[in-house]
Order: sequence, then structure tokens, then C-alpha cells
Amino acid sequence: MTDLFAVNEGQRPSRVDLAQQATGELSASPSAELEAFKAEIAAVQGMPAFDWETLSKRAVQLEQEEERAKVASEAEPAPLPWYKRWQLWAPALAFAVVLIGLVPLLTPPDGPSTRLKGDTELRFLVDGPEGFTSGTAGQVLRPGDRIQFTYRAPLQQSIVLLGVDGTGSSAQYWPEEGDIPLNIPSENGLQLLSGSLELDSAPGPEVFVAVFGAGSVSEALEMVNEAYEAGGHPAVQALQDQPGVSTLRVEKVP
Amino acid sequence: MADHGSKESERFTLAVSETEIRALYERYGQVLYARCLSILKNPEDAGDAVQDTFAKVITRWGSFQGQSSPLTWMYSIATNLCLNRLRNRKGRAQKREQHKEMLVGDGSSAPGAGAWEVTDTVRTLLADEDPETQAIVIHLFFDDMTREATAKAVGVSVPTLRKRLRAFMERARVHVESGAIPMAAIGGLIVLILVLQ
Repeated sequence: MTDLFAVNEGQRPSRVDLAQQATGELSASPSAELEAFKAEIAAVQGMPAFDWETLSKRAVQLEQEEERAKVASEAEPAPLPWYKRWQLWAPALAFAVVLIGLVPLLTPPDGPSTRLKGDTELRFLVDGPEGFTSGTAGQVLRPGDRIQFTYRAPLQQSIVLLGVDGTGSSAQYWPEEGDIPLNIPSENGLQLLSGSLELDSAPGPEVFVAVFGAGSVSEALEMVNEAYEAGGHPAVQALQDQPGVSTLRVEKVP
Repeated sequence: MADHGSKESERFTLAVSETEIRALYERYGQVLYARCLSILKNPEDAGDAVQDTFAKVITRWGSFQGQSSPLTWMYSIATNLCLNRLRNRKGRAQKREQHKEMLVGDGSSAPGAGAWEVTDTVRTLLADEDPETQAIVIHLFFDDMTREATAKAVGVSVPTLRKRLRAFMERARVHVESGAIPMAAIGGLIVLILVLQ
């Protein structure tokens, strides 16, 4: 293992590249890195000697073990995946439906967490002892607090929700992964974003950015990262001046 | 293809001859062993992982269609075997921990106690990670691949990779703060978390 603290930013060949060069899979001109790698590999002690009998017996043994495991797994049907077990998701769904109905009652229409700009809006709810309650922009939250987002975005068909934490690190929250923005119903009214977010321990401000109608997640992420590099959290917050973008700032204390 | 039948192996086909496997062993064995050793740290475990890798090559050579290089194919087999060993090792360590009051002398020492370092944290936590995070960590830390190459190899976007890694490092931080690792490693981990972000 190379130096843990020096993440390879492309300034040197990876150890896989070097291994392919050292074994002749890839052609390479002589380099200090390759020579050092070869020397390091040659110096490693303890490699078992080649023993065909042991290897071929072990090969058969591993095949037998795999076959036994396969037979055992076929005999015992795998448990249903979570989404097919209605006992798990039905209560959550019922809760979500009730919550959607309560959201307008919990949040005053022009409350401090409301941030209207153009046609889109981003708000949040905080999970507390009394269940989810309306959050306010700039609210002080703690690591482990669970928040859920609501939005209003008539005529929009997709959302990307990103965040920039106190260390300036950006994160993609919705969609959870992949580069395709999350489809949303094109409806008026406040919508609840499915799922909640548990705040990590990075202290300081965290600015959440909802980008509606983005071409891709990476495009939205690039916009947010560029804004942060240009002017930190205030610049990320200022993205709300752009059409189809809503931002929300909270403060995290340890 | 060769069939090296013995009574026990009659039902299984060995897909490569002794000569062929010897050539592969001589060409790739040492590199594979060094990689397994860097992941597992234990020479005996690393030797077993290499032996098992070649044992699997013996039966699966026929299914290796050359979609990747032989080395990267064997690396992926070895990675799974190493992760299995880390999981087993963790299970054994937990068992020892549960029964340590029954041990005498210094038998209660956790394996590697006093020699903890950042890489040990990575090894310890790897066993519980999902396969995608495991692959990310192995490629990034042990294979010294770039974030971009790692994201491509695993089939995720770079932002997703950063997110997974951040979550992994957060768990490492919690692990350290829970007192599983002496203070000496904490500074290193904090630097690592900052670098990775």
C-alpha cells in the first residue's frame, strides 16, 4: 500500500498500471516508479512455492464448497426484498401520506423558512420528539438531526438536491446516485421529497441547493462547486437568483 | 483444456493444464501475493489467498473470455477472497473479545493491539461495507488508483464515489473516537479525511 495521505490525483501510475507493466501485460518505457515497484515486489517474502497437487485439490474443494452453498441456497428460498414486504413499507407510506396532508398545517404560508424565488421553493422539516415540525431558514441543527425536504416547483419535472457543508465539501443527496436528475410530479402545491437526511458532523453552515430541470446531476454539481469556489457559502446561497434554483441555509453546531 | 481426473475431482473439470497454470503462477504470483499481503497484512493469509486465487483460475479459466487482462481478472478474484478473509478474521476477533475474560495472561490482547494504524482501521471497517464501497476503498487505497479511474472501474460517478468515501471515512472517524484505536492514529485519520474531501 502506498502512502495513505497522498491520494493519487493522476500524477503517478496506479499500482495496477505498474503491475501490468511489471508482468509484461503493458509495454512501458523504463521509469523510476516502475523500477521501484519491481524492487518492492521482488523484496516481498513468503510467496508459497508452486505446487500443482495442492492447487488442483484446492480447486476441486472450492468447487464442491460452492456447489454445496448453491444447493443450500436453493433449498432455502431467499427472503423477499424489502420492497416486497408490505409490512415494512406500508406503514412508512401511510405516514408519508399523513405527513403530506399535515405539511400545509405545520408550516405557516409566509413563515421564516419560506424562501420564494421565481416559481420554485425549498423548505424543510425537522424530526424531533414531537415528530416532524417545520424548520426555519438559518435554524441551528445538530449532527444526527434528521430533516426532510419539501418543495414547490410547478411546471418542473426533475430535481437535483445538493449540499455544501461547513468544510466546503459538496454532496449529492437526491437522486442518491447516478447522473440523472430525479423525476418529480409536475404539480402545483407543496410536495414532500421522499426520504430523510441525517446531518453529519461537519460543523458550520450547510447550504442545500435544489436545482429543478437540470440537464444532469454533474451539471448541477459543477454549478454549485463553481459558486463555492468563487465566493464560498454566500455565493452558493445566491444561486437562488437563478431560475429553477432554490437554496436553504442551516447552521450546524457540534 | 485439460482434465486432471482423480476420484474426487471426476465431477469437476479443471480448465487449465499444469504447464499453463505454472506459467501464470510464475508470471503473476508474486505481484498477486504482494497485493494480498498489502490488503491482509498477514503473510499466511496472503499466501492462502493467492493459492485460492489460482485454484479458482484452474476451474474458471475456460470462462475467462479475455474481456479484461488476466491480471485484472485475477485481481478481482483475489479481492473477493481477501475480503472474505477480512470478514472471517473480524468474526474470530469478535469471538476472542467475547471470551477474553476466560483467557489468561496477555491472551486477551486484541490482534494487532499496539500496532494500530490508519490502514488497520480501513481493514477493520472494510469487512462490514457493501460491495461497492469495498471495491472503491480497495482500488483507491490499495491499488493507488485515481478517483476517476476508481469511479470508472466500479461503475459510479465521481460525486457518488466521493459521497461513499466520505461516509466510509465518517464511520472510520466514529470507530476511532469510540476508542477502538489509540490516539496515535487519530491525527492520521483526520488528515486523511481532509485530504479525501
